[in-house]
Amino acid sequence: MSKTTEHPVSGSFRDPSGHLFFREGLLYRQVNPSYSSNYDLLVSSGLYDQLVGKQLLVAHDEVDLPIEGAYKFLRPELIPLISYPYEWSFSQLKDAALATLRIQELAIHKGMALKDASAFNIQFNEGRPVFIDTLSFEAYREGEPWVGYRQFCQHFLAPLALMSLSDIRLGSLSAKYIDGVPLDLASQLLPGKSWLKFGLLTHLHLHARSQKAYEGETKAPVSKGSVSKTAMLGIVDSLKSIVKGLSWKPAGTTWGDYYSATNYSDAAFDKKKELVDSFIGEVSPEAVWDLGANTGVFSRLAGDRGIPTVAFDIDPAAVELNYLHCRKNKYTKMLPLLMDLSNPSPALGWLGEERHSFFQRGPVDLVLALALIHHLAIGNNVPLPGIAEFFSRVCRNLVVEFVPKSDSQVRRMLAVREDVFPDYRQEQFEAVFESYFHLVKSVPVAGSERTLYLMTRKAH
Amino acid sequence: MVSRLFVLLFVSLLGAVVLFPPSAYAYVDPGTGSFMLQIIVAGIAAASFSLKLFWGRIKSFFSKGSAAEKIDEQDD
Repeated sequence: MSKTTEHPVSGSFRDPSGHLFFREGLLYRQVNPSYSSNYDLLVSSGLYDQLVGKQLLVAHDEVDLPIEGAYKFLRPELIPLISYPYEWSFSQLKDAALATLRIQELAIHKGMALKDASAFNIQFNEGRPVFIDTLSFEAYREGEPWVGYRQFCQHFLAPLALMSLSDIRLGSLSAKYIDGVPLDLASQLLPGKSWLKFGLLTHLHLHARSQKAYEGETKAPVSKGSVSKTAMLGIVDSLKSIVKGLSWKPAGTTWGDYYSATNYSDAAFDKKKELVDSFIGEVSPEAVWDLGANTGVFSRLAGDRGIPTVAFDIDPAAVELNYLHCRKNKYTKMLPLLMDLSNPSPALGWLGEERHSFFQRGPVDLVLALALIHHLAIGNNVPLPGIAEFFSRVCRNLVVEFVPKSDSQVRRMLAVREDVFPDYRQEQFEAVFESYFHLVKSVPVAGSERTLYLMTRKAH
Repeated sequence: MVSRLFVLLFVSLLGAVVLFPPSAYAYVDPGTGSFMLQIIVAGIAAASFSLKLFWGRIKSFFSKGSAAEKIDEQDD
C-alpha cells in the first residue's frame, strides 16, 4: 500500500465506476474494475480519440500508482478554473448543452452512450465546453431509452427554455436545484406559447406530466426494442433542434451600454487601460480575476498577455456579450462568469462540499477591481474595512480603482439617497486597505477624479 | 389520474403498443416517466430523423459530399 494519502475530490462520489482524488497535489481519476469493460470500449472503439480530437472530452494519461484495488489510474488534463451552470451566461449553457448532445450522438455511432447528462460534467477550457467525466460512457444497448435523458432535460433544456422564454434571471434556479430544474416547475413557469413549440411540448411539458403520471412506479415498463437506434438519434436530434432554436438577446439590463455612459473621455479611458496594463505587467500573475468586469474590456489586457483570466460580472447581458465576443474571436484565455459579489456562489450539494464556493476557488494571483468599489461601498452599504477584507481573501495582488464621491457615477448613486457614508474618503480608503495590503503604487487617472492603486497582500 | 390518462392516450395514439418489465441498470435514476416519454416519442423521433436523413441524401445528390458528412460537419 502507498504511504502517501489520497484525498478524494468532494462531488465525485456518486458513480461507482470510479472517482477523482488528489495525491501529492496532483489530480487523478481512479477507474474501478467494475467499469473496466466500458473503459476499454471507450478507448478501443476510437471514441476517446475522436472526442479528444474534437476538444469535446478532457484528455488524460494512463499512469501507474502504487495503490491496489483499481483497474486503472488516469491523470486528466487540468481545467484552470472550475465553474458551474448557475454561473454561466445563456450561450455558455446552450453551448454546453449542444456539446453534451454532440457527444451522445458520436458515442452512439461508436456503440456507446452517455449514462448521465449532468451539466456539472461540462467545464469551460480554452473557451470551449469540454466534457470532464471520462467514466460517463457505457456500452450502448440498442432498444433501451437514454438513461441521461431526464438529466439532460432538467440540467439544460428547462433552464435554457426558462431563460429564453420567461426571464433570464431564472438561470439561477440551477443553483437551488442541483440535479436540474424540476420539469413540473419549469412547465408551470414557462409562458403559454412554449406549448406551441413541438420540442418543448414533448421534451418538457409532456415529459413533466409523464414524470408525474409514473411517480412512485417501481416497474419501468421498458425493454429492448422500446427505443430503436434511429429513434434514439432522432430524440437527440430533436433536442438539438429545440436547443438551437432557443435564443436570448442581451438588452435592457443595467450595464448593457455601460461603456458609452461612463465617466471617462476616450483619452482617459485609454490612459486607464495603459495604466492597468502596466500594473498587470509588473505583477506578472499566473491567473487574473477581473471582478465587475462588465464585457471584459480590461480583462482582455490580462488575456492578451496569455494569462488565464476570469471575468466576473453581476449582469447576465455583460457576461453574455463577453462570451459571444470571445467565442467569435476564438479568444481562449478568458472565462466570463456571472457572479453577484454581494452574494457570491456558496458551497453547495452534499455536506455542502460538492460545488465549491467563490472563495474556495481562490485566492488568485491578481484581482482587478475597476470602477467597482463604489458599488460595494455605496450600492451595497459595505464599510471599507469589509471591502478590504473581501479582497484580502480573494487575491494576493490587487489593482483597485478608488472612485471618489465627487465622481459623477457616485454622485448619481447618492442623488436619490441619504449620504450615510462619512468614511468613504480616499485617505480613509488608503488607511483601511493598508491594514491588509502594502500600497505599492497609486496613480491618478488623468482626465478623471479617480486613482488606480497597485497593492500586495501582507503576509498574515 | 387525468395526466396519466393523457399520457396513456398519447401512447396509444402513437402506437407504442407493447410494454415490458424493466431491464435498465443505471447509477442515476433515469426516471420511469422519463423512460416512458422516450418510448412515447420514439416513433415520431425515428420517423422525422429518417426523413431528415432522406432529405439530406436528396440534397447531397445535387451537391458534393454525403449526407452523413454534411450532418457531421454542421456541428464542428
